[in-house]
Amino acid sequence: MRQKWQIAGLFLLLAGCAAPAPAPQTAAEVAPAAEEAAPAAEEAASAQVVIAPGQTIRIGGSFALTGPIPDPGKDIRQAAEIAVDELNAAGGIDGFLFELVAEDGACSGDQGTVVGNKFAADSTIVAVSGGTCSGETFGLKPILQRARIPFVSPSATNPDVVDAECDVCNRVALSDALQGQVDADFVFNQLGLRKVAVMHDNSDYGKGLAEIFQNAMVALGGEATAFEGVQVGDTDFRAALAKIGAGQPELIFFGGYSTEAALIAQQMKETAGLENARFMSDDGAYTQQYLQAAGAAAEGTYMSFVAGDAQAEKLAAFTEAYVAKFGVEPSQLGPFHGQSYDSIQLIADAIRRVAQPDDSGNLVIDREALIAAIRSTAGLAGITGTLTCDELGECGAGGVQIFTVENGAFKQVAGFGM
Amino acid sequence: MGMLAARHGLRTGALAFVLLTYLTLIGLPGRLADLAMPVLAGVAAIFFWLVLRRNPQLGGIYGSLGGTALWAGLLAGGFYAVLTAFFAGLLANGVRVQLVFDKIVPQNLAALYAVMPGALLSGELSPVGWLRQVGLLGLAGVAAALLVAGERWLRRRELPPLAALRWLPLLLPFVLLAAVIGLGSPAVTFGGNNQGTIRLLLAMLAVGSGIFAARAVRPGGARRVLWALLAAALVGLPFLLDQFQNSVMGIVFIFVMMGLGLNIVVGFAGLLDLGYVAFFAIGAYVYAFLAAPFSSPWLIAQLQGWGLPVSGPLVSFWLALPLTMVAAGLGGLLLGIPVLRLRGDYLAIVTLGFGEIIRLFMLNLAELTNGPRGLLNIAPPTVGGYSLGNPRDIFLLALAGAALIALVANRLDGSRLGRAWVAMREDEDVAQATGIHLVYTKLMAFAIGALFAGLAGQLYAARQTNIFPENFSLFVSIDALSLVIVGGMGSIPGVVLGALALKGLPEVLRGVDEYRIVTFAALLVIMMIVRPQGILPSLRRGRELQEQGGSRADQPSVLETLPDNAGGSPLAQKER
Amino acid sequence: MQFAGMALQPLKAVRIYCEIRVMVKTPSFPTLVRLRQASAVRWWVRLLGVVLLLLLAWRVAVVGLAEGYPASFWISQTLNGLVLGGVYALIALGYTLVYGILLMINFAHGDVMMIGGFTGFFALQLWIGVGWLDGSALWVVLALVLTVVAGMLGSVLAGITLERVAYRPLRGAPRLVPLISAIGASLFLQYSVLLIFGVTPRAYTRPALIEGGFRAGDIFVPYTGIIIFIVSLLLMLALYLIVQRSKLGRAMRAVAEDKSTAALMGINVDQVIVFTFILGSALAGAGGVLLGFHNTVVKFNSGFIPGLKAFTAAVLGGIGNIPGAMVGALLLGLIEALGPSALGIPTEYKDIIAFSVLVLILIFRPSGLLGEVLSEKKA
Repeated sequence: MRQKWQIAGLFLLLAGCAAPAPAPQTAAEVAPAAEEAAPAAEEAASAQVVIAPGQTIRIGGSFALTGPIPDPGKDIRQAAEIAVDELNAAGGIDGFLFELVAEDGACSGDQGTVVGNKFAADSTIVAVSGGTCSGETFGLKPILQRARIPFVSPSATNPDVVDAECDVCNRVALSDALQGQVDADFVFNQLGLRKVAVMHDNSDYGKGLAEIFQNAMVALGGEATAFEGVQVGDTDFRAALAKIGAGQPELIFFGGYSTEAALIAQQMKETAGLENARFMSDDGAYTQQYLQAAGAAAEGTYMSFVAGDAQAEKLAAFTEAYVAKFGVEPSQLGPFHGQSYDSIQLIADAIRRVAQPDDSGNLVIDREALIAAIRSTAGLAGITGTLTCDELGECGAGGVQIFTVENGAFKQVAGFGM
Repeated sequence: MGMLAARHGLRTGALAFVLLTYLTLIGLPGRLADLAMPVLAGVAAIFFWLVLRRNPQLGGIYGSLGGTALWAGLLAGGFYAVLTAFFAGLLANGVRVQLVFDKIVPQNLAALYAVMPGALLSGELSPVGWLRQVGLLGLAGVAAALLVAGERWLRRRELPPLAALRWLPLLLPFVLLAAVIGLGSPAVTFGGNNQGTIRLLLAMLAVGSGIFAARAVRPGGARRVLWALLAAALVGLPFLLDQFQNSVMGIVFIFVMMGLGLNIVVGFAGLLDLGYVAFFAIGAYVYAFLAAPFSSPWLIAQLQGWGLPVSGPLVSFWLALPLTMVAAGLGGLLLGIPVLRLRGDYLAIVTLGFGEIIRLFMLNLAELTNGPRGLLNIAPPTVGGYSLGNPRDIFLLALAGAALIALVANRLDGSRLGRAWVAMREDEDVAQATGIHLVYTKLMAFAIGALFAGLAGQLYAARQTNIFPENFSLFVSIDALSLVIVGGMGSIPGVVLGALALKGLPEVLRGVDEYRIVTFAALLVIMMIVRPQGILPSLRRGRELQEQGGSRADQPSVLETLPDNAGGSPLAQKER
Repeated sequence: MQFAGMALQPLKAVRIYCEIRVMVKTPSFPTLVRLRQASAVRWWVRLLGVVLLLLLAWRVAVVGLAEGYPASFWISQTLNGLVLGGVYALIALGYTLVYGILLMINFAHGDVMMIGGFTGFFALQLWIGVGWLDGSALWVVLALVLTVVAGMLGSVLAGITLERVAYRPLRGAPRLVPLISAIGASLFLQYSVLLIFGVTPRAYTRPALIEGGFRAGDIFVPYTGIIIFIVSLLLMLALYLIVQRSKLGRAMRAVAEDKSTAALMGINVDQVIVFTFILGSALAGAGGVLLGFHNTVVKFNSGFIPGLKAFTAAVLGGIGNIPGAMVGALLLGLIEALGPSALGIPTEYKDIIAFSVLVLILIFRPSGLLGEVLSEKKA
């Protein structure tokens, strides 16, 4: 028995040593090696997608249908369906209709990887809309990059989602970096507040935004009395708020989603030291649901949102179609329906530019051409504004707007478009 | 007789009505569109069949059996028609039922009447729609009665023993494999289904039936040949599958690795561990620190302080292996020492707490772990400059890892330590009295189990390339525990089957994304009721359960009522 | 280690084995093993405990108190903790009841609470629709009581269905089997509610009568918090009386002691178990509605985390013990509210503190704070 252990140990040791350990490489060396090796191992993705008559142009969608934020995920999916319906009602491209292949990315990197591999293995997937969360998108990113499938995320706002080395990565959401800056500027210069407390929900989105806000505030000369995290799904924040209240801040900024934001707005009214403090949150909380859940406590709180130009007519038409199909106002569920709709429109627009019919009546889409076409999108009219992609893949239009709640409705007080 | 049929029929019909109502409320009809009513009737028929065959006192297709079935079908249909008519009426009158029941929308209900949503909203429903519902469900009852009668008729006849059939389970994996190859290149839509998914399902069935075949064959030369063939097929599988299928199989086998480790703790040693994910997380994070130090602010500062480069991995995947395993093993000891004196459910809750503590540390120690934003760009394993980071090679690595762990676990099972674990599981006090060193034995169980989880965690991190604290939630522990139990506690092949069923099937069920978790949860409960010893119990465990089952008077032995399982495991054969 | 020599003498070992068999089968009898374990290990553990306590006291003195929070801060945090503990207690009592009788962890208990919260929400919407909440205070109180009753009914329905479908067929199976079934049931309840009622959280409307709270200087207690605390105390008292004084309670205790003997004595075991589930679920339902009023939001997974915490609380107090569950729950609530500030660490760590306390208490007192009664039996 002892001998067996020794043998097992030896075996492990051998496994450890047998492979000649390559000298520690730098990241720059590792990355190309991975890229070179990958296509050899996988079935070489064909450079073109050929769609036979009667087949559809398939666009993948990675949506957070389960996981921590199913409501915004559902909203994004339904908005994408409306966009596809609209494209098809207009005749698609030369009679070829679009099809949305919706998958559940569950807002996690884990599921994002599975979904990415599923799309990469499916040679009929032309492009992907998604993922909903930044973590999920990090799962998709390396796989789609290798498979040469471009994606446009409607809602992943982490600054690292797009970078200079990823040519398939695009988004129509605005980076958190912008929103945090504008929010801090509004608090410091327009509200004239100096002492703030920062809270976040420990999601990559909420915490990232909270940090950006805090840094911007400090850079402006303000003071952050506290930086506290809560958990998504918690409902009792009184203990954390009592602690924050001891620092007597003039405003609480919360990076996170609407349910937690509403509860904090409510419970801070009951906390010593915070009776007169103001509350501000982000686009994750800019929903009807926040208004409902927070009730009277929502009055006078501030929300920031990344919005576009005055596209009110388009938005109204979209909302009408959405309500007719799903029986619910899009803003009931989440804030990103506009971006989702636009991500599909952006993809469809790029496909329209590169798709070529061939002699046998097929529609041919060149993958590399599509990647370039999405990047070169300019002046496309969407719900959230006029979309133009920069060299990083930031396609979002518009800017940050600040809203306050008055009589149970959002009213813009500052920012883009005013 | 009439009373009996009516009473049984009422009960069965009411239950079926509840089931159908549930399916309607979760919005299934809307998904099925025009097929809604036939499919619901099919579900009802299966339900009636399952209920009726458990009531042998109902006799005769023209007697109480047929009567019960007809009563049940018509009653369920009647109730159901009233319910749908009620909802349809509300919708037609402009009531927003959706404010309460999210899925009661025109689209969903219209599918039941096979009309367009518009017709429903304007109230243009003919009574034919309701009659159709009643009629179809009545038919379902009749079909179920016929099924039961047919089954009884078959039971009464002695079936000639078919010697050739014995070879079927042995051939099945190869037939399935041939089908996988035959389906050829993946992911072409046909018949509304994704062929890639069907191929994945077939591949998983092939692996599963291979395990049954390996257990069913008699010892001797044939066994060696079959085992060699099966092993060859398994190694060849990654080369037949596409990227998505390989990626799913990869995660399945990573969970096999984890399940095998947990099997040692729970199955062999009987220590209920609900926080097993902690060691998985330790393995993943330690590897991530070693392979992607540039993602961790604290590590960057440290490395720069020592004048080391921070742009690349510190050590290769292979050199990191012993390090992660040692780290996870130490974690196991760390957990093991305080819980030495705890038993049963106290142990369960403490381990659960431990798992949560580790996850919360990963989440909150942002300086070290980069918090919720996770550690990014973890290097894949490489061999001589060739990256093994793609799904196929990860699957191969997971296969190798699982094989290694299975080998070690198998040797441990029969070893002195393994027998000590069993003794401890059965009765700690007696085990101690017979000279088993409890402290050593318990700690070894925790440490070895943790070691394997660490190994699995490292491979997981290499597969994901980015890891986040949310990847290591309580649900991973629950998944791992469930797969051990579904597969059969203490049984090594059972773990593979459990992982296929619990981690693989949900991916096949992706098409029905929304219903994935309810389906899985319902399966878990049904599985525990129908076959608590797991799909493929270890022989020892199976016997124990049989002994206990003998004292259960109100419950017929589950194995008797169960139809033959596909592979005909040796255990099931022995019991017949 | 001290047993290493024992196996050397086979005869002696066999004798001891027989003795132990007899003793182990007889509950509430100090076993031989237990006597022999009082040794060096235990002293080391105690020493470790003292060192930990000193470290903790040092940390509180140097960091926590040095922050200079006013006294009102500590008082409000204590009150927050007591209210939180009251909520945990209502759920923990259900865990403890079922555990005491069946020795199984009803993992889905938190979700039973959530269903109570949902039922209560819809009942409340109905009263609002009828206009009772606009009426006089009497009507409002009636509506509130009826909301709680509705929540209790919903939970009871869910609880007995759960028992009938997922647990009863498994009685007598090894202990892990019902646990897995319970985990499955928990997921099933959560995601069925998600599918049926949608993803949108439901927000309770607080009537003006219980809006706001009691204020004294810098200390503020919401009325809902006071109601939760009082109701949970009353319900615990009622439960204690039922279990200790009533005939059914005696039957419950008999079943907890030994199912088959109880059956021989003419007790309908099935009925007693169903009754246990009814009691536990009713408490959870009340908890769900009260929590709904207190925190205003219910959604499909809002039972899971409180359920987990309540289970921790039940174990902390000694699972199977009714006053123990109450004490454990209040303690857990206090620890969560006071811990982070006292130790001077961010509130994110409150769960870590809670679980660490659990681990520590179980190390030094493996049967939980008040859990002497059942710990012997579970060997």
